[in-house]
Amino acid sequence: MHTHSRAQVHPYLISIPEIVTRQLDDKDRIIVLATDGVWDVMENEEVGQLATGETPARACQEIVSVCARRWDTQMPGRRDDITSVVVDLTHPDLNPEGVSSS
Amino acid sequence: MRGKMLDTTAMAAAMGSGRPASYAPADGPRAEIGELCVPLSVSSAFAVATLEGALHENHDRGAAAILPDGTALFACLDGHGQEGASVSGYATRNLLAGCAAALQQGHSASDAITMAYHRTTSTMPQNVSDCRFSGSTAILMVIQHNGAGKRTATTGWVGDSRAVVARLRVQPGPARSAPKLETVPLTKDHKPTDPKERERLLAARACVRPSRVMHPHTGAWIEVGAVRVWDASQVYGVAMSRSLGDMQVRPFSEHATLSSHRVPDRFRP
Repeated sequence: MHTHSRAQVHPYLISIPEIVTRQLDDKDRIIVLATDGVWDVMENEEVGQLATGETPARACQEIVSVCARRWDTQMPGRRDDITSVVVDLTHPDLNPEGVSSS
Repeated sequence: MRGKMLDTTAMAAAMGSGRPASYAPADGPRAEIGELCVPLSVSSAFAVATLEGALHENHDRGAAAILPDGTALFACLDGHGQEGASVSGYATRNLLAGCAAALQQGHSASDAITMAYHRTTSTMPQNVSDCRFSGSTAILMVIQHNGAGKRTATTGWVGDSRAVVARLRVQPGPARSAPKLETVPLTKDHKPTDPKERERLLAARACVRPSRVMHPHTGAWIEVGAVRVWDASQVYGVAMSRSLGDMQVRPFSEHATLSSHRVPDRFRP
């Protein structure tokens, strides 16, 4: 028996994830995950600024509403779904061992 | 829900009712393990906001789960196509549950992410009404504590949803000046135009081009919009180089292996 691992397989569009590991340090403050409803109308830097210094609940609502206004002005009637997940890395729930946040 | 903003509490409550004692996946390949096995968390450490677009029902999903050992899982997905919401919903629950189960079995974060994607992809055709002409992006992030106050963020993704980290920038100069932020991307969008992805697609002899429309007067074909990866018959194209679902563009699974047997001579004509 012979196995052809590549023959006649069409790996055009793949669902294998790319994976990156990052060591977090005490300078890392906020992580934002968002869909292209955000990234099409907002740069990384601005998202980072909006997400910092607020509670995650307020920050993610703020990001979504600013992006919605931009879609509605720049591309009326074509607004994409807009989603953001904001994670506060300094929060005690994510620091059970008491990671320094200073 | 059209045009209405959802908050974390509502989403977590909608998706995470009932807390089982174990994260072990249910038996049987048809089991949808998400709702049963991973309780989504409510915490002020994170929040999800989503707003439905103007064109169709909301295909986006965001969710989080903090496991008993303090490991945190985050997911953010963007579906597309008629059944985009089913694909992204199914994938959200199964990525979180699959990853939690693999972590509990002692696998590393990156292995757990790989296993969660594989499980989600392989069970999707049986569990979603149409994942042939519908699909989704997916980010799955694992934040783990490695002792001594060290944490790692392991991020797996397919498609063009993006994760970034905002961090304090080291400022040369007076120590009292206001701290400045820098934003570092954790993912790189999987676009067919990305040089590495493009190289992979062309090596696989994929059809990579924008959509075509016929000019109303001259009858000539004009290419419009984003560059897409097309199926063999060139009727369905996806504007990403990796995704979940979209089975039309992958007639054979990338996990498949084909085998051939030599027919013994005595059976030959």
